[in-house]
Amino acid sequence: MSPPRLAVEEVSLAFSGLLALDEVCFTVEPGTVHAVIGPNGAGKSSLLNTLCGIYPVTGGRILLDEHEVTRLRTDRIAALGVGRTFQNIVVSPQESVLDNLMVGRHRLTSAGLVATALWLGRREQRRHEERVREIAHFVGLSARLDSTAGLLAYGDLKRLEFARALCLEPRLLILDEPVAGLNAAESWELGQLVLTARKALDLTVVFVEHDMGVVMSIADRITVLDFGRVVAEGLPAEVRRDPIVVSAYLGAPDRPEATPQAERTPQ
Amino acid sequence: MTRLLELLVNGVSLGLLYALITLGFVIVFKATRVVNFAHASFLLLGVYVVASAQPSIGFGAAALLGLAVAGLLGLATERLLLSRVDRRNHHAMAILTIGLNVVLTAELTRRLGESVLPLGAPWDGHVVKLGPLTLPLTVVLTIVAVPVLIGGLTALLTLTGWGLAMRASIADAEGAALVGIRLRRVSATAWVLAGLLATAAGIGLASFPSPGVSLSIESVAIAAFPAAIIGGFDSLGGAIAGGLIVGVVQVLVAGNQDSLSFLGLGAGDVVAYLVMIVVLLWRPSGLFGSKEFSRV
Amino acid sequence: MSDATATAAVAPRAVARRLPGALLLAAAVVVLLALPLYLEAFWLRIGLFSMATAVGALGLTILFGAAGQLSLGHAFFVAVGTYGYAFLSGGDTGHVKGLGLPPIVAAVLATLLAGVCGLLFSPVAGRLRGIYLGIASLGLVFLGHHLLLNLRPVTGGYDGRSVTPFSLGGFLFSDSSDLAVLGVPFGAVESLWYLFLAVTAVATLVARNVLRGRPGRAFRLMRDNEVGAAAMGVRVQRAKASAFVLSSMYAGVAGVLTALAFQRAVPDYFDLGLSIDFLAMIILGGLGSTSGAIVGATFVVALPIVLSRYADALPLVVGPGQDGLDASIAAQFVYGALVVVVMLTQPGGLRAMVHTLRQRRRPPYARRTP
Repeated sequence: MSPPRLAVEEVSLAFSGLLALDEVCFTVEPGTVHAVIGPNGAGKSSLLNTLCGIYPVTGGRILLDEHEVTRLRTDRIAALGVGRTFQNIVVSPQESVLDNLMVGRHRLTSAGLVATALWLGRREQRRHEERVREIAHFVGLSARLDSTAGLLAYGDLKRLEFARALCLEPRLLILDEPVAGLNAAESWELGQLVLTARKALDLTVVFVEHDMGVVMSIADRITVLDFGRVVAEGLPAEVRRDPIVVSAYLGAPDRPEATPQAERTPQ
Repeated sequence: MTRLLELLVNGVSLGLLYALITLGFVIVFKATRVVNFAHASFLLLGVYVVASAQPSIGFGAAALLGLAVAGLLGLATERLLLSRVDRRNHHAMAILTIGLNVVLTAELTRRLGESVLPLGAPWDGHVVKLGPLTLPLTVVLTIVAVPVLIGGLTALLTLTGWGLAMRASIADAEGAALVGIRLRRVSATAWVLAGLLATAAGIGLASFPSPGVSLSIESVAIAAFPAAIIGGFDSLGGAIAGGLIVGVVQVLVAGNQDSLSFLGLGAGDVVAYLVMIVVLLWRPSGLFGSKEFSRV
Repeated sequence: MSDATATAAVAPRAVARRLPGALLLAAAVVVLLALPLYLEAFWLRIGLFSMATAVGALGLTILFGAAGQLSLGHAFFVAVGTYGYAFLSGGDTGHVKGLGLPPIVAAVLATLLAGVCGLLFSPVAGRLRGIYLGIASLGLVFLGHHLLLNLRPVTGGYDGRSVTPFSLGGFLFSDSSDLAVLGVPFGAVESLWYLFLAVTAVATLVARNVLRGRPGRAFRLMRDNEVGAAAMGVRVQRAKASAFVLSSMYAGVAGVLTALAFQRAVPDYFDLGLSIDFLAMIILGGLGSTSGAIVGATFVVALPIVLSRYADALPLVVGPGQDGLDASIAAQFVYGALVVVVMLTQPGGLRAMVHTLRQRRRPPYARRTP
């Protein structure tokens, strides 16, 4: 199946009056790797969360090819082939790496309570385990499959999340700060994995990242957010030179600090 | 008509007592995110101390002693037990209070058994006539005293440094710690308050027309749990509303037992749970609760 | 080390690790099968109650241990099983009615009935998170107890009702059977032992399948992070509701077994205390583990009975009715305190302790790299 186009049309998001996203528009072309950058609190994570239906938008539309996904439930969006990773790692810490990856197969498998109870899920499980092992091998987690996820090193946890998103067999892959906290070598490696996966699996990729080295080396296009608005968009080379981006992203001395509150959610 | 009015007044009085219990429960939850399953046994312990001390030292001193013991129990729970559990592991902390509740209930069962200890309050046994209404003195005093208590509590929360610290740590625990708020002190105070409020309410629950302190007081106090859910669990106003709703509905149903016989005997004791389930079906986060967002 | 050699090196070790376990299991099965020939009825009866309760604990460990949904309403569903069986299999005696169905049919229907009750509550159970469900489900125990007292034609009211003994294919699981094996008369306790053993074994295997399979994995991620589970395509509300229904059915089976073990159904057994007992069992055993649930159930059930039996030999504890520390209260002290201690030291319970030990024995590459 060909990779999908993602269109974000005038999407707004408000938390109790506070505007986190303000009529955000951009399009991710099929098969491209698209970066969303911006200072802390610019609304990047909120944007990813609206794409997945975690935060209900207050206005605008989100289209995956011709499907409107704007008000779909998170699991329905996942079922359309949207896989993602999280900024603060979300795994089951007490489970094995293999079990954590197998959760990624949830939408592709069907054994329910009754079937599983009656030993009927095993065949399906074995079939999918093979594929999961392949993916684990691809990201370099083969030797860790039996260890408890909570005991993994940080870099392995990041790869686990990435691998689990791939286990969904996604068409659109959403990555929230995939290399945050990794050292330069690990970051480069994961960046290359994203490119390889995009090519091998026919993916469209949207990611948020602060590491400019990785962004510039793997992104086909970049959207820059500040205070919930798109302030620039273009090819990496264009964005790098854009004066607005330089001042917004690097924070010119005469500009007030970005408010971290904008990204917070009400309790 | 007079009878209905009497029932309403009685219901409001009972509801105010529930509101006190629920407030203590909700304050602890707001300040520490702990669901205190031992709250009802705090209440029974406090009021048990009052009843067993009053023959020798008089009601007034016994009441103070009971309040002190329950307050200390709250403090000890926070300091000796909960502070040793990971702050973010709310499940473990809640389960710990369940274990504590088992131990406290076992001890109180051992001491009380089937017996009923008289509370010996000076207002016991008195009734007052207000126009056409005949009301136990307890009811009148409750209706006067509890709003004063709640007012004082509101003042404490809105005007004092502790109140500010608590509200700040509720809004953002890490941020509050960064600006120098001592979270431990906030949560310790909340737990002491919970013990005090529970005992104060317990004194009301064990007063005339109730025969005194017995194990059944604890099962009455458990009705504060549905009250908290009805109100929304993390709202102080909701706690008061939830308490009042439970109190009034309970008294109205129990008072109209004959015409509501299809509900069965003793329906007054369980109607609070029915109301709770109906409210939950309608509004899953209660009447005044905030919808929890999980940040990823 | 390359990935392939690492995998190859693990396989024989895994087999070697599993072998003693399999032998141990076989030995345990033989012992369990032989017990009725050697043990006196007192111990067998403890076994029956333990097994009945263990099945209920298995249901709760799926719900709370795996799916993270606390229920304090478990006693209610056990009551549905008990009274459902008693009503469906019982005959009309005086003002207490019954349908007189064959016991096996009644047992199955009672289990389904508990499931249906769980389904009716699932609009609430599916939408609430963890601890909130705990408090909401408290209501079920109180409402249930009220119904048990008031639905007299079905429940017999305060005095309860008697329970029809189980029978299957003409064999009656009661003392009136004149079967004897190796000189041991097979009365109710002995024959029920095998019935309970079979039911508990099936219940354990089913729970294990569910926990190790697709639903169990989804439950656990949902427990650890609801949004994360939804992003993997898990229908959170439905998963919560189905965990709740499944655990209700387990409670229903536990209720049927309880009815058969007690041979009577009385309302006061199904109070909040029973719900809390179930919770204590799975916590002491270790949340989410099937073996933990069984061990925990046996401990919590047997403790008061054993304490009471040996009251004379024990300091402090006395038998029922005597002056001193009643055995059942002493048991409450012990396991209440144990719950507190487990939460303070090892919130994963027994299972986590075993797990930590195992991790230490693992080959070094499986461990955390510093």
